[in-house]
Amino acid sequence: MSDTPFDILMIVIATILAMMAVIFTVWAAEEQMYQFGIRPSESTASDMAGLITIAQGLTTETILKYGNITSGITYNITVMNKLVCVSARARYTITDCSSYAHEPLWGGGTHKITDAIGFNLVIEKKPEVWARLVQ
Amino acid sequence: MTRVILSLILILIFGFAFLTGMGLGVMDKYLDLRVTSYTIDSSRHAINLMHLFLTNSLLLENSPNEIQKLVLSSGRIGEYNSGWFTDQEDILGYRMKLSDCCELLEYDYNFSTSVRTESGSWSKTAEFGNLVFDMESMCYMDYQRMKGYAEMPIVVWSKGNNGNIYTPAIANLTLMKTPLSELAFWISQSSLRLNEKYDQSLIKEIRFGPEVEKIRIYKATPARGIICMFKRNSLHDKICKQFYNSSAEVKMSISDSSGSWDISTFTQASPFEKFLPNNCNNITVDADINRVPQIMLRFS
Repeated sequence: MSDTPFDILMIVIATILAMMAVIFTVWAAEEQMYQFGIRPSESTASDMAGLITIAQGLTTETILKYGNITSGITYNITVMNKLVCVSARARYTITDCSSYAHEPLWGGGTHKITDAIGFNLVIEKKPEVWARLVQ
Repeated sequence: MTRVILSLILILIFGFAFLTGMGLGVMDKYLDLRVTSYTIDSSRHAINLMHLFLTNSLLLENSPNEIQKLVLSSGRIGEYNSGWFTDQEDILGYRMKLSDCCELLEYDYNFSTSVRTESGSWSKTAEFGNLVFDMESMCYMDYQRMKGYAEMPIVVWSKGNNGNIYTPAIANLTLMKTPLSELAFWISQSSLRLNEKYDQSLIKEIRFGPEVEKIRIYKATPARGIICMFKRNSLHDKICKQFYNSSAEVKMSISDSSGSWDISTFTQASPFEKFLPNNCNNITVDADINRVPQIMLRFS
């Protein structure tokens, strides 16, 4: 028994609906992963704030370097007023902030960078905490 | 036959969508992913802050030529305790010392030391901190009740009649996101994010329970303000925290049902004060960059 035009139409509609359901599910899942799972801005801000807090507790002259050279993610970062705010732009732009306990001094660099594909946060304890962001 | 298969496919698709929706609904109610995320993050902050307290802070008992790591002075822990509960920045300088050294915008915390008694149990010997809100109230979301912990073996130094006494002890640090820390953190980060143009708009609702009877807000300097929350039925018990305004271009205002005011008009001598009803309350931090960068604190 051959298919009627109505059957073929239904096959096409069902296929489109199924594909749309899959695509929307993948999109929604990807966005959820960025919101709750893969959140480079959150982990980067938290790592940087933690290192600035730890650096104040060091008692010997030390240089700490935190690097992030993830390709495909562009970062805007500002560190001031006890806050590290990181805006990471990939498929979605997500911004997160984290706080640290002690304000570092800024020398030989700046407290913010923009449109950085990769960057380093260099913290020197000597004995005050000096920090600089390097693009 | 084809119609049967098509019907089956459509039933499967919509059945899958329905079950997924139900699953997400149940997960949303019983599995708040922020609890896991915030617990891990706050524990990392707790460990970092504990490291700072025990290796290079004003809590340490320092000899003139040498920093004695992990040796805390019981007297200094007591001095710090008095520093949390004032918004007078100049009282013995404790407030400024705390702000400069050991205040995280994102969290409030309690730090305590415990020694083992002869019976083998642990007895709390000293503590300071600003966790005074009852976060078990139904006004709070699950993720607001999470805590970060850090624990380390230390030595507590005190002066006895016969000289120095060194007592083995445990230092314990508990971090929490409280209404006070949430408010200070979100005002400060909204200001920075608007100033740096990371966001066009930002909105955050902060809940707090009936234990907060009064809120006081004022500007201490153009770049820095103070928020105090007073405990219900105990108005002399208040907890204060700083917030930052990253740029003079970011305007800050407060509004409620009776009007709207510029925060910069409120000073320590003449602060904004609001009594709150004895139930769950909200403050919305509403930041917007459309006309002028502006942060509005709305009471509701």
